[in-house]
Amino acid sequence: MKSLPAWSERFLRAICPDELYEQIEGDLIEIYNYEVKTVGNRKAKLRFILACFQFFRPGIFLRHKFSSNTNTIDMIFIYFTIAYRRLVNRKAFSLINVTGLAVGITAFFLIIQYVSFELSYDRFYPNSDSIYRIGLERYKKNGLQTSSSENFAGLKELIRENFPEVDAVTGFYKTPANTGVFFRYNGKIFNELGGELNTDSTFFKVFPGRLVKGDEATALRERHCMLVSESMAKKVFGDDEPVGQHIQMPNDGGGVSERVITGIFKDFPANSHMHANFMLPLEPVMKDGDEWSQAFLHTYVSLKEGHHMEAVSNRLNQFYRKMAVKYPEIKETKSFLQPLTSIHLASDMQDELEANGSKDLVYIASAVALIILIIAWINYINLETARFATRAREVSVRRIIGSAKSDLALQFFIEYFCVLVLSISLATLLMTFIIPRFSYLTGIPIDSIQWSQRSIWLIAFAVLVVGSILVGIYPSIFLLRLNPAASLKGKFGNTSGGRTIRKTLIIIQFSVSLILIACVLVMRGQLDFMQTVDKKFDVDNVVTLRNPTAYSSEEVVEKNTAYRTLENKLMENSSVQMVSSSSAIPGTEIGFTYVNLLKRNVNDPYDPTRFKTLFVDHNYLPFYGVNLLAGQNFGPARPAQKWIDPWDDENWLTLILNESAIHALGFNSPEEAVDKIVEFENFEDHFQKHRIIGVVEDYHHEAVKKEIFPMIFSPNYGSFQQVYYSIRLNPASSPEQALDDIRKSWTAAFPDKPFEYSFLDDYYDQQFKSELYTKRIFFVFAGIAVFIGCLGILGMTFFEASARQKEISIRKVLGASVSSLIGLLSRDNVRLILLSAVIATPLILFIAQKWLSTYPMRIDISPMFIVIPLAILLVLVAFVSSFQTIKAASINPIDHLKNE
Amino acid sequence: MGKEFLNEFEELILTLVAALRENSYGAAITIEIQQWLSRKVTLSAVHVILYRLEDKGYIKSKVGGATNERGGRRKRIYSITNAGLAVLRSMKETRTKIWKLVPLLKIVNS
Repeated sequence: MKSLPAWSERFLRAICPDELYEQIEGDLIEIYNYEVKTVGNRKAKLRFILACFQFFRPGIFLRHKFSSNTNTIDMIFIYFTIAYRRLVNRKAFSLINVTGLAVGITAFFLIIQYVSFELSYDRFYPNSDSIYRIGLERYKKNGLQTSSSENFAGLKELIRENFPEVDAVTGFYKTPANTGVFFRYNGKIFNELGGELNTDSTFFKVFPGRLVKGDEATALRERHCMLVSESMAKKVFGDDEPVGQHIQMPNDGGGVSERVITGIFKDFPANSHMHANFMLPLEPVMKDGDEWSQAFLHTYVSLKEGHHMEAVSNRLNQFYRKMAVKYPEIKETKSFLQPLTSIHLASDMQDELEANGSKDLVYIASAVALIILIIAWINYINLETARFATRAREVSVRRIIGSAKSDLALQFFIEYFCVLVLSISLATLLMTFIIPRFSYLTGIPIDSIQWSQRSIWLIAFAVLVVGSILVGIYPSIFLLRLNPAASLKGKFGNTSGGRTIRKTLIIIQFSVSLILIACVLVMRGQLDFMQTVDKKFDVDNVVTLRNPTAYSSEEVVEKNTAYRTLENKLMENSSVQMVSSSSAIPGTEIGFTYVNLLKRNVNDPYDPTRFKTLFVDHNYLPFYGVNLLAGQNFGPARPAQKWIDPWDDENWLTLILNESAIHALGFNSPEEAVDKIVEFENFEDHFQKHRIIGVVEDYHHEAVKKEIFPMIFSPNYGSFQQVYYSIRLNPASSPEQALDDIRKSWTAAFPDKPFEYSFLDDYYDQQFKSELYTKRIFFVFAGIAVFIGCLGILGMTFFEASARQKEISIRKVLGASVSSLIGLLSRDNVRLILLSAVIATPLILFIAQKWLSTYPMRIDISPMFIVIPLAILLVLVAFVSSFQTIKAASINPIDHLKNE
Repeated sequence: MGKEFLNEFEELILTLVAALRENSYGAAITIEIQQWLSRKVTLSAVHVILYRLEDKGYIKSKVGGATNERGGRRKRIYSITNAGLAVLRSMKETRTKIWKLVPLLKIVNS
């Protein structure tokens, strides 16, 4: 008997109705003793335990509870009624409560949506986790110089032959997304942006399952093959079967111009780090033995199971060191593997396929999401506890009449539940309203917002549920702890402990609001700065056109004639001031990156500096107002009756460099560099002597936020590399008139080509897209945080005012003026805000400093980043709390002093 | 009488309550069933049935004495009410009537 477990008694007592407990336990013990004799001690004990558990059945634990149950059910309905009445009774208060929670929940889920999207990048391949990109680091004497996402062309073969642990390897190069793919189908002309991806069948081995139609092995085998994406196939071929269709495509070699669609691939989803609408075979552009001189292939491998990227990188670098003897370009380079799934958030190298996201931003966003939600909860608690002054009496009466604590807790929870349901409904409403505008805010296309990152959503929901329950429990505990007798006497206990907690919460809110406002200010400052900074060139009133024949197979003579026609026609109009042609325009990436192709002497050692080459006509520098520091501009092409080859022009072997370039070459001043002869390997296979005829001031060609790079200007005489036409409009004429004139000139020069133009200032500003999005996101969430924070202040002042009613009344009786009382009540808030400012300042400075350090040109951190948020917050808080404070200060003392 | 219905297990326990008289309580009934019918029953099932029968008014109960075997816990002694007796009797009679309708069959051992 002694050996019977003690818990069985507690268990039975818990589940059995009081009047049945004794006899049940007695029966159990009797049977146990009977069985000890018949089946033995051990078995009897087991059966006893089993029998105990068998009493856990509705027939037992629900017995005789019916009478109280019906009462509880009735009471629950009454609780709902009370909850409803309380909500309706104080409409403004309930509205604040519900809106606060709803806005918090909405903001939380919107940010989670963003976070989940950012984390979902490149996870749609079945083998995503085993795919790696091989990047290339270049070193100089003083350490790492650049890291690039493109690797040597020979790497593919090297891996295929020597690395059995690699399942598949592929390499491709991709034209920038803003270069058009120009072709003709069925008499219609297409000029589609997005760029083309040049690769071979290995692409589908590393990235499986992309091909919808066509044969993976042969789809890119022949030079005339071409693959299009599903959406592009729909656009170009409509309902026709795309596979097998012929299109005409110009080709810079002047060779093949007919291509056959051999397959269709799935569109790359929005959460892919690469996008393309066309896939073409890898052209054999490299001469034999040249695979190790130029790094231009994005190289990806998929590893077999159980192999680690470090091991592969190490082995690869051993190969590189061995081969460096033969190929000088490899000498100071290092390859490294990079997991595919980490590219979007963790990689920021040169030659990235697309601008990547930022891990920090995702972390910050998640933190902001959580903080906003927590602030919303804090506010709910603050507002609820603030109302308890009025509630305490009700609770005390109920307690004295005989309500069980559990019943009261249930009542509070039901009230909270009603608020919660209302706010979640409101949040859902808000979200359905906001989500369509969400892509405008963040740049995330709406259709790809997906649930792929299930764990993130599970965590988010768990946070919401657990948090909501905790928040619901807190006020109940607070109220239930009250001593009914004391609170009936009017002593509403507000312990100093509870007050400290509440103040801490408010300080956190203020600090977060200050930091978020400061972030918006810093971003705005930097963005304004970048947009208005002296770019050292002029993009206003410029219309740009793309030369549709730039890379076409048409005769250079014809191309030149077409351009001459366009230029002459344009210049006839009074709306056009100047025309220029070049291989790139400000804001476009310069495709020609030359490494080790420009040197003082042919025998100089290998130099990894990257020079970018821009082909321009003699108008380019004056057109864009680029400052010539020394020397002179290119002369105009020799006026000739008939077209001549560019290299026959006397100016062909001349160069203009920018400041960075002459410094990279070791010249000390522009004057020193002018008229010097340098060795330059341009389009010939060997170095030629070129004369530096001028030096221009550095300017931000691709983007203000990028470092200025060394630039080489080379003349584009003839029709050589005339890709863009820039047209400066007469500011006096209307843009509509000017565009009409340009269209007419265009039709005269290119009768069968589509007319597409863009205004350069808009185009150039596109580089600020990500900053603009980030700023908008922060602006909205700063607004939300401040909004919810204001609700918190409202609750706080309400609480303070009601808790200090008696004090205020006495002060009034003794002669305090309303204004001095307002001061008294506001002093606390001001003190809290100042304290928050002290806490927030170092954080603001740290964040601003860290963020700004990513820009080569940046604004200085000014005290305004702290003063302005502080001022905004003070004004807002003063405004919000004023209603309550004034009301509290102008009470009639009699009302609050008579009940003692 | 038509509405009254007891299932087989209820009928068995009601009969046992009637038969055990002063000694009819949960444990005793459970052990009796095991001995008479060699059938495993759980104590909790017996208790639930007893409460149900009590709710229907077929049995009534009073608190009885405690014994050492029960660890000093008092037992609840059940006894059959007139209503219970009537229902039991009517069920038995009905069954006998039906049984009489069965033709006398000889069980043939093959």
